[in-house]
Amino acid sequence: MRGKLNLLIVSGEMLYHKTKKIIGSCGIDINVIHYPDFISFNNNRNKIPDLAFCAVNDIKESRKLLSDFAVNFPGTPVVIIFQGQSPDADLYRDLIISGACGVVHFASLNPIIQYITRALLEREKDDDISLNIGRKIFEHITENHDSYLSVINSDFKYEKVNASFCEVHKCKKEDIIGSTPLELWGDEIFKSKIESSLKKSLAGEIVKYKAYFDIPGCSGSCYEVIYRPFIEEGNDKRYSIVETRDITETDNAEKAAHLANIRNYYYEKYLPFGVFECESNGNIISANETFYNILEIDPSGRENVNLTMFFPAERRFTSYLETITAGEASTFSQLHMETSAGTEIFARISCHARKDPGYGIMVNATLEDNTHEVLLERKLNQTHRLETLGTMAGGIAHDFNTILTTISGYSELSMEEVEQESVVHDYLSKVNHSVKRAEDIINQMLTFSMQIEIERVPVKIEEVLEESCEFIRSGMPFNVYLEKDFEDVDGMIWADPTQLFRVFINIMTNSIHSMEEKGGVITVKLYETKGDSGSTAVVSIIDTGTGIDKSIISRIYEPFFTTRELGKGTGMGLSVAHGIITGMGGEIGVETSVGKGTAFSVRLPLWNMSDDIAGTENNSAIKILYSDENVYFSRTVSLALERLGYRVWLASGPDSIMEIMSGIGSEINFFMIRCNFTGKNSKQLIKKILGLNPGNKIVLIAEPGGNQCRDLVNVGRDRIRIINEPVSLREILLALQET
Amino acid sequence: MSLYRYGRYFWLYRKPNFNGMAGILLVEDNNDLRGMLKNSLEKSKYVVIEASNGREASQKFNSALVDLVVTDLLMPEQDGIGLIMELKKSNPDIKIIAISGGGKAGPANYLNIAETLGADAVFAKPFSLQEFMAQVNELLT
Repeated sequence: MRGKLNLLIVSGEMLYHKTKKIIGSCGIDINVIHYPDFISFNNNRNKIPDLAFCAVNDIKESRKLLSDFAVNFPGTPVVIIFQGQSPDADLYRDLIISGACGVVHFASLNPIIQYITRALLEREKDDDISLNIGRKIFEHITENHDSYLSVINSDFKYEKVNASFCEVHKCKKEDIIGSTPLELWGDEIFKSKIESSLKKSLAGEIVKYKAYFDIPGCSGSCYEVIYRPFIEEGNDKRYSIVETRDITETDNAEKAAHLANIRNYYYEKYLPFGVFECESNGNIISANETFYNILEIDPSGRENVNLTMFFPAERRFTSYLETITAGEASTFSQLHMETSAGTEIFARISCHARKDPGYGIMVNATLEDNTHEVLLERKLNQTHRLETLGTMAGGIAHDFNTILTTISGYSELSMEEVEQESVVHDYLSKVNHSVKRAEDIINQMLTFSMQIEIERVPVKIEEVLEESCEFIRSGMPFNVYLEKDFEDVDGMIWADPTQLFRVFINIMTNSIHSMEEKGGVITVKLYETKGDSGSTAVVSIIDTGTGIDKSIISRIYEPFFTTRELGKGTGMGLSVAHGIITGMGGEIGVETSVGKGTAFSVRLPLWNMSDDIAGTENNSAIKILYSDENVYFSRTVSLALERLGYRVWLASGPDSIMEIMSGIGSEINFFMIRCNFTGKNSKQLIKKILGLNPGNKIVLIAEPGGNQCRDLVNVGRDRIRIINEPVSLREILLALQET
Repeated sequence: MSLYRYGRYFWLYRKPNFNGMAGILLVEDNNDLRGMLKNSLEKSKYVVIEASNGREASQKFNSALVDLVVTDLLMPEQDGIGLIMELKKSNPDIKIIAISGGGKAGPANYLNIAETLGADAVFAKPFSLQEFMAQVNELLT
């Protein structure tokens, strides 16, 4: 029903009221509109009337009215209320021909009801028509739909199918209708999926699922199947409307997206640098796990993170952010940041900005933790600087030494020319005294620049450390205490014990100075760490003094740099220590906290002899003859070997070898000869040595490119071994060990 | 030496000397230091022949005149080490004092140079003049 019937009455007042009364009496709910004449109606109308009663006086008037209506409201039936003579058959016929759908005489208005009723019925009939049209359209759509549609009744039989269905299953409608899905799909598929879904949907449930199957001749492979229940009104018949939709493309797209997501996920999760997105004010929109790890942000604290939170003192980063303009990429290196846990790191942020309609300028960036590289670079710079200073210092030192000799020489000569009691003599002795002081400083400078030749031997580091602790203890002020914490250290270090002693003394002296006012504790630790390149002995000297200010910490190893008052320190202590340790192949490092104290750490590589030679008792069984024309070298080697428990005899050439051999030759089982002699004698000598005792072994130290020794080797293959010049003490000991 | 034996070549073969005074070849590139050492040596009545580098020293060396060579080790134009080795080869009896510029780090230096090169004594700058003169006297008596 399309709402209330709209009734129009075009008549005088009296007739209108009469009509209205009659309508009201029959109890029909309709809208009644009244106008005195057609024109006024036409001007004011806002609805098309469904039925019109118009009062006319004669045929001419009625024809006019009817034509007006016909033109303006062609669908509206008009009933003439004839106010003239009662219409006879001819008049009636005329009016009908003119377009009226009925005639009523004004004297008796009852027939009006008939017309109203008829109009109402007609309306209903119109609904039917539009419904029909709708149905036709609907049928057209379903018939030609891409989806395969079918209607299955409660007997599990196909009642209706659309054209697509028939096409894909390559069957005719007539063949399908009446058959069951069981016949179409086969037992397996029917039992596994279709049966239960049909049952559910027939019971009133909507069933949806995604299925992968191949329909022969069809390119698709992924389908969405929807079972919709339908209950027919009136007879409660149940149907299931089954829609099968080809979603292969969507499915593939979903799979690709999923794959891309997984890829992104792995990039995000496992990339070793942080990836993040933030607004131009630093608010983090999203970030990967590594980002949070680098900045040590708890999982619980990941809301409202802003990048500027990690730049402690200077909020400079906000100004960096402001310089980022859309479409440009920028990199900020060596950013000094502080993590949530308070750790200081150096990082690099590389970013690209874009305009985002929602957020304004959006920045996509990476965060790399570069702390290691930056610190390494700084350390290298420092080392380089110190080396340069060292070279310079060394050069100056040598010249100064010469000049000092001249000064002291002349003052000594002068002292001889004057009376011992004279003032001049006194002055001159003071000159000499100053020269001595200058000499000390120059020595320190040379030590710092590592231009001193030192003799290195295997040293037990704990011995030297003990000695220095005792030395320091004896001279400490009363308010300073020294504590030792030594662990066992396996092996020895290659060092000059005097120099090593000096290093420890210098560092500990510094520590004591820092605790002069308030006193404190020096803790000396010794331990061993094992790394990729072997073991390292670590000495830690920790004090509870004033600490070293950040601004000067890079200068502490500079020669002559001191924070003490004039006259209270030369500023060479740490320079010398640095020079010595670096010259030994070790490292010296410092950690400090102003007001809390300082910790110096000295690392030296440990040299471990293999177990079978480590014990001194075993070594004494090995008797070595070392022959070298260079007496100094032989002395050094023999000293080292003796320290390790071997018994050593020295010779300086083939003659002395022969001499020793004739004496105690049979006792010696190991020979180390520096091959700087040639000739037949050598061959004879080697033969003799080997002949004396089958267990004798020889190591020859040869000049590179020297043929002499190669000949000698042929005399006794596996008992002779050659190592090439230049050799270090260590290499000799290694060769000894290996042979 | 008999006049008769050498005839008119007597003056060629007779070994000249500085009237009994020992001759010292002093090799040092620093003028001030060389001057100071010369003053000191001449004060003790030694005859000093000066050279400021190794080459000059080789040229001026005369085995008949020189009993002791005092030389710095690091000099431009042939250093002292080369000079010492050269001199020792041709004059194994020559006495040598070496002066080194390296700091007093310990006995290592001394021994190294002294024994490797065949020097009789080594002094590291800055050294005491007294000790130096004592050593010179010892070697020349």
